[in-house]
Amino acid sequence: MEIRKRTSKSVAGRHDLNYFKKGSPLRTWQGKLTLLAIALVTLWAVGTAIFRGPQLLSSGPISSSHAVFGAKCGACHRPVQGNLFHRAGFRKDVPDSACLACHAIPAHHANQRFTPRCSTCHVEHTGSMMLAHTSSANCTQCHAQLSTQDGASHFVNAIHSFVSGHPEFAPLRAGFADDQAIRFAHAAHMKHGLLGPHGPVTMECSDCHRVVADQADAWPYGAQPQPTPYAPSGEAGNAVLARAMNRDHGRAYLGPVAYAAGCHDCHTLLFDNHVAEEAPHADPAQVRFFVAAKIRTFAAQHPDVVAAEVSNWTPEPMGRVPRAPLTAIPHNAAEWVTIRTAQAERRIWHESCNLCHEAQIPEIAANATASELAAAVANPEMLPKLKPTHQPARWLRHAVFSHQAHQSVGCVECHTRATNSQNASEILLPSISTCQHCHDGKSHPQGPALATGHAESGCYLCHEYHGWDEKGLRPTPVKAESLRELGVLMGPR
Amino acid sequence: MRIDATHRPWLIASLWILGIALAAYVPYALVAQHVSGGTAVGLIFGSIGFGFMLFAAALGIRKRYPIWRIGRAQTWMRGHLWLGSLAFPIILLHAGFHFGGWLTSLLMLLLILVTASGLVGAYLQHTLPTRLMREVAFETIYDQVDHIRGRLVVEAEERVQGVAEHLAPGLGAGATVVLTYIGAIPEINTELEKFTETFEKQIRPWLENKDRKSILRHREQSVQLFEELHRMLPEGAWKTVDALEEICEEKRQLDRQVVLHRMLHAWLLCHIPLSVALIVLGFVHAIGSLRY
Repeated sequence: MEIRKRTSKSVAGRHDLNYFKKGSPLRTWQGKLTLLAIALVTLWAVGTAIFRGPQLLSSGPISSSHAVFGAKCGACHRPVQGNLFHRAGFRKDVPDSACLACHAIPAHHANQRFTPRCSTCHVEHTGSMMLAHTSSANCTQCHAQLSTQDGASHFVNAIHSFVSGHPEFAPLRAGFADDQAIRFAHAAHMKHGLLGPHGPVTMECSDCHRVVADQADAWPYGAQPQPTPYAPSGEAGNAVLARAMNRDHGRAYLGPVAYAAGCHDCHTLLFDNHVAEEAPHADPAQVRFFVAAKIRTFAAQHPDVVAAEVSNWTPEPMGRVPRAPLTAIPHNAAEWVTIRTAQAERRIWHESCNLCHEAQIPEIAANATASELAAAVANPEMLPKLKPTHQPARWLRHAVFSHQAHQSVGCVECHTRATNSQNASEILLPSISTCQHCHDGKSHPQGPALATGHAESGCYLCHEYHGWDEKGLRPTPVKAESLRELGVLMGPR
Repeated sequence: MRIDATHRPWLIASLWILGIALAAYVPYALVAQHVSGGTAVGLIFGSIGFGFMLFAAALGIRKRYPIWRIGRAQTWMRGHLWLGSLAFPIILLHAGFHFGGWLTSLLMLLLILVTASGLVGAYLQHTLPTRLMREVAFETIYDQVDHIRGRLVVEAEERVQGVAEHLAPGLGAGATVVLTYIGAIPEINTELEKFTETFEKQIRPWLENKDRKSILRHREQSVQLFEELHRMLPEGAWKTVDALEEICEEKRQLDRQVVLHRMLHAWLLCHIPLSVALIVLGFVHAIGSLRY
């Protein structure tokens, strides 16, 4: 028996010379699977085109605001009249007219050099929840080197970001002064164990400074609740301001501290031992009218008490604010009323009004006679002149802010000087550097995406490009007619 | 294809292209209000990335027409490998690292699968041929394997028949009455029957691929079996036993070749169909993007 020999001839002789005619199974499967893949993607594309329309070509989910349009791409993408490329149906852009068909938008500034297209800032197809959250680059493309149509701008003209070039807040810049403040020392009111209506009180900032939504709540240490509805100080009836103040459901801004809600329980306006009621916290003329009426009423209702005091007159007691007591002595009920009224006025002007308000109080001579006192309490010239006060509802008129968004931070973390302030005219706003401590431009998208522990620093956080609040405008609701024309609303006209 | 020192120029060129792309992307991403494929820079990245994909896909056409004189096949293959790999990062820059809508998400998914399967394929093509050379000395043309295996069955049958004729001519095909009468050797007949039974019940089914759990799949057990046949049969039959053992070894190696060949090429069953789907949808995306 021969051994098995492998020669080229013997090996070659075993081969099927027609093998290439049979085809390779692997290549056959490659061809079949390739055809299957083409069929599947074609089926998918055609099916999506049929059932979802041009949504197939969408570059991403549209924002929640425009989700109502669904697959009606033509609502925003309009054919552009242009060259052959455009006429062939390519580059259906989103012109501003498509946006303005529904939205009435105020201009940013009348003298701005150029106006970007709506879609430049409000970027769609990114699944955005808030289209107003625009890139800071949209703002700094002008504000980094600001100029206007009529020359240089009076705004700071080299703002590159919140942490680069942004000026200090206006109320904290040199030359700004609050000359309409009351006499008030935060430091005195933040002491431990102050004498409150029911005993020692140690106050917190939020006892007096409350957000607009909580403005009607009573002062927590009060004798009885004194609910005070919100009214911007000195700007009552300003609907624009009121709307701005009601941002975040009234939790964005702190309402002004009103006397009734914040001061009354400790600083009462009692004016006479015989009258339990307090004078109103109002114009001096109204106070005078109230005081005189109450004392007259007491005299009419209690003639025996008046008669007893006329016969046994006690000089005016020394008040909290040292002054010479009136020496006039009543001889009858009418003079008793006059002298008690004059005493009450002096007490309220000097001890109550003058405590918080800068006042020019005409002095009544201590030795004035009853008739002279009668003339004085009837003389409008003898009313005190109070310096007007004003608590701005918002210190930063060109920016918005929300205390609610910062509620996890303690008040004095930002308002560091509040507990030591001796004068209400000091602006206790935190400096921009305090804000920049967290809003440091290092977080996404203004900074590296992976930076953590840094708050966002986008311009849109504080500034409104369209300035709805500043211009006193309200975003107009989208017209139903516009939606009908776009085929979004199908109901009857 | 082995990835060796000859790929160095392609590696360097690819790194340069990637570096230039990144150098262009970073300032664009920092300055631009919105990074997307629809911006001018995004469109440039998209065009380059799609161009790389089309070039990679052209390899399939080049292979179909090997006689075309449009560059060496190796150059095409290297271009396919390196530029095809580059398409992925370039498309990521095009998309600004976002998946976008349905179509673009599907495209990105396909691109990831195509790139991943391509890299797996490149690794297999780099390593398996060496293994094939080492492990399959009897390697033949893959498409001939079934035919050769059939021939091995025939050859084995002839060898076995030869042994029977050599050891028991009275039982063989050419036996005469006299030979049968005087030549029958009962001892050998018994062993011969056992040998024939071993062939029919163990060796032939395995050679014909009918017994896929045969012990002959394993070289050690195969050696053991044939050693037993050696001990059982007289020396005159040993050459035939050795030949049968070699036939089994060749069959075992051809089986191994089939396994390795499938490993070497099976990834293409994923890579090619997905690549074609990617190209088709890429055109849909390109045209659609120009429309909106």
